[in-house]
Amino acid sequence: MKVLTKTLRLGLVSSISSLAKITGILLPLLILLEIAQEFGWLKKISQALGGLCRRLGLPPQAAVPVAAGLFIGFTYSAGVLLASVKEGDWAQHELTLLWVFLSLSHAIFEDTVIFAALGLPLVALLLVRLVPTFLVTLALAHYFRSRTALPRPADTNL
Amino acid sequence: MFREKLQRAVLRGIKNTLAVLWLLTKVMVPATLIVTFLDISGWLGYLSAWFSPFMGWLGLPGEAAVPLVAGNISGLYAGAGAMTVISLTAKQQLILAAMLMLSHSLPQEGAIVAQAGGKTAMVIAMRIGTALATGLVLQWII
Repeated sequence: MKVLTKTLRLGLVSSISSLAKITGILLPLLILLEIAQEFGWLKKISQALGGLCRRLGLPPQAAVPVAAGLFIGFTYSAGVLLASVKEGDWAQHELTLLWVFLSLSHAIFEDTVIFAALGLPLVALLLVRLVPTFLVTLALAHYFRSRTALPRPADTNL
Repeated sequence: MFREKLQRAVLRGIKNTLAVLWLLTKVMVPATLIVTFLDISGWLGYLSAWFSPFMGWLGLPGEAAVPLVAGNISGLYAGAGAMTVISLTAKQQLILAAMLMLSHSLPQEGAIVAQAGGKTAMVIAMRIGTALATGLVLQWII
């Protein structure tokens, strides 16, 4: 019983404090993002990322969530991510590819700075995260392409 | 015109913030409670001890399991915090940082992936797999 009340107390306090911290970053960021959208800036950044998406086997509408997730972060940009995923027309394998890419690399400035603060070189930190992310995403895209190009098991009576 | 656009953007920004906060509350509070319970009841310690034999393959000491487990179950900040407590060489620090950045906050971020229609089990498996492969390769090449 003591363990449970302690869990509730500590858990709720830490939840509320992290929610407060997140609100402090989230509110200005989401307002800025809406302003960017309203004035058409986000379109320009996303267009620049369109080529990257194509190379990774992602559809063009992935540019906005990729830009938001990569630079802003996963939890902070959850609203943008959820909205663009629900609005767009996505195949299941495209969604999976997007989420594999974004789960491996997101909030790349924020996360890198934490470990750089421990004394590790910034460039090395970015490389050890981004290189595996691109390799895995490319390999998975290749697998999905080869699978959709092959006849489905039902067609070959297997 | 400009004022109207700005007003609309700010209002939508506030509305989106509230929506995301509600989503995060549903996702984060239960996850935090579970991890806090594991910590208080001592299970987090057992989990770490169970993982230590595997740490050798990654060129890491047994204690490095603590930041890995904390980071993956709780969050990147918890992992980084636990990392500062144990003594590591620069090489071990880079390996651990790479693994933690690639794979962390699995219950929380997994829940967001699920909400957004991704295949959560596959995404989580890819993250753990990529982190392990990166750790093995780094321990070999640097």
